[in-house]
Amino acid sequence: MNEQISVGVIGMGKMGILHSGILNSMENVQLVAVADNQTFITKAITTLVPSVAAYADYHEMIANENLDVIYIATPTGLHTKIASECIINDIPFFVEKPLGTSVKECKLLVEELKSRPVINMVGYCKRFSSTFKKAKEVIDSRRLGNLIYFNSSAYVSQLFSRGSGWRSNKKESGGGVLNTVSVHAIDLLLWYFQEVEFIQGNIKQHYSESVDDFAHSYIKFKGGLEGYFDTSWSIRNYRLPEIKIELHCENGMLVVTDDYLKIFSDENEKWTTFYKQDLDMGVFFDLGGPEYSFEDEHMIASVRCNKKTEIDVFEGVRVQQFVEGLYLSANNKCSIEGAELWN
Amino acid sequence: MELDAILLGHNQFIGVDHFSQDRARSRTQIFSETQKIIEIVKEFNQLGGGGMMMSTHPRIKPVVESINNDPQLSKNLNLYPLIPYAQGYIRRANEKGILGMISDSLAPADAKTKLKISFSAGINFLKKDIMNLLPTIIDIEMLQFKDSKVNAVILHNVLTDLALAFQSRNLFEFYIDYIKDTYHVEPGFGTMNFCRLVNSFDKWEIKKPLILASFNKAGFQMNPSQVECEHCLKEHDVKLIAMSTLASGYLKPQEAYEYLFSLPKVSSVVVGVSSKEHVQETIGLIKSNMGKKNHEYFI
Repeated sequence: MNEQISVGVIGMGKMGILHSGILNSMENVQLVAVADNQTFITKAITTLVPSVAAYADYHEMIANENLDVIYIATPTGLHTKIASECIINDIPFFVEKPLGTSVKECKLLVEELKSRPVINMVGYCKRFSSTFKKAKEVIDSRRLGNLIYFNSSAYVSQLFSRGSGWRSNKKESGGGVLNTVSVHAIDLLLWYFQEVEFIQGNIKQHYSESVDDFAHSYIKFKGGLEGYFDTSWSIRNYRLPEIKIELHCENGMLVVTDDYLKIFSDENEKWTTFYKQDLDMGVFFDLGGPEYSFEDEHMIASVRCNKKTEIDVFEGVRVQQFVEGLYLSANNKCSIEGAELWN
Repeated sequence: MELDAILLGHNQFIGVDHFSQDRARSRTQIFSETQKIIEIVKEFNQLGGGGMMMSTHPRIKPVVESINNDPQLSKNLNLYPLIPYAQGYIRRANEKGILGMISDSLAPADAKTKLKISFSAGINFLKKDIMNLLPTIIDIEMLQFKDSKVNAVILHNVLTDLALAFQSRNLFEFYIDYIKDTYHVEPGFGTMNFCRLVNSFDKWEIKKPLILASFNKAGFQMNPSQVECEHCLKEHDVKLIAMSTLASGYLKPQEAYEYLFSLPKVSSVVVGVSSKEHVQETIGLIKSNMGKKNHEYFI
């Protein structure tokens, strides 16, 4: 591996631009090429950074450039297809969340990786957010005792009329709020609480024609923890996407959001609060939030050391199984057992 | 142009709170009436606060109009637009993609082209090149302030930091020239990456314009670290507008301003106040801490 890591980014929407910026500001990382069929965007990038090569067709980028890593930030419907092409070309890849539009296509990717392993990562950046990371430490330590009940939500005020972009098209997005905004929260729940025993869910469309605007679910994890997850992109007064997880345990409780982690211990009958101001210690470059920079740093370090990432495609499949399980439960009006989800 | 020492921020009025989203929601209810906001602005101005920094958030338009129509505020309060209103663009991009977002953003210009925006070959021409598009976006954002007393126009940190990430010297030079030539006021740059921005201006030999960056005792949003930001401020000739001085409400005002005025150079401070009592306390504390340090750089 060269000292200098060469990166290509496919899909120059908001996330593609954000990753391009962060990667370009990292030491010994060079953004060498971008690909998008909308030439206005790629031309804007090359106007700002003349050294970057712009491609309308990503196949040409893969063929012409000598890339150490590819970032995939296209609409979700293209994720696994492009990831497969990275595998065939032995190029490590980072794919934005969610991994795909169905469990079936995601599992095919896992099979391909088994026969031709390359380093890979899915963009579940909330794991790098200081409050959620701290909550994981507390939960894993079991200092609050066994886990009993949780209540969780992911809301944003985003959609109050019929959407018109690719996110509103189920073929391209794989779903509505559940397979876009909510997957970060679902990833956190699975990261914290591991394997699902069963899931029951309901979805509701109000503004969108073909995708869900609201989803409600009741989940039981193996080990006994049970609770709710509620989500919508059509809730008023949530200027930014907000995740909240409240967890009740044998000896206390905790509440975690992007802003804080509050822990209540029965033993000393008091709250301990960690604000992100307590936990954030600065980052080499901040573009849209420190978690994105830490995420990209993790990917690049993994490629440099030829090491597996902490959020590989398998983790992405688990989120997809949860999403699909919830849709299945809503459609069939029944609980979906964990075994059905994972097999 | 003389920079105002204390600037009123507007996040508390529009439901932005980086400390607590719950608090943001309750304040949104309180400040749903423009008059409630104007009362705070008046109190702030009467006690010596000379400027207000604001974005082009939809809630702010009636506030600007009320300020323009108020005999006292229209004369005594300088405005510091922070453009563009990034969150609005991001939401539109999420829903409609980047091109859809650009088309939507250009829509208000259609009706108001006569004012000052000249489309040499229509919207499609603008879409072909970002350097054609930028002046139009700036002009659209500035429409809201056409009748206001504007002192400086600050580029939002999202755009500054994106240009910084790409090391796009052209974009910085363009913005500085455009704001000076078109609006005849001082250009400024918001950033989350103070040290990198200052060092880049040095590298490009650009005379450093106003910089709006977080400086607080908690080191919150001071990148890459508090120590490096403090060192950079000390070593470079920078005109700083300090923001997040309470680390988004995390710090107590007394300790926050003690820290701030222990720094070698702070030209101006943005404060977020949400009640008349809060205005009195904040301005009082700033003045007393300024006095203690006999702050030579303070304008």
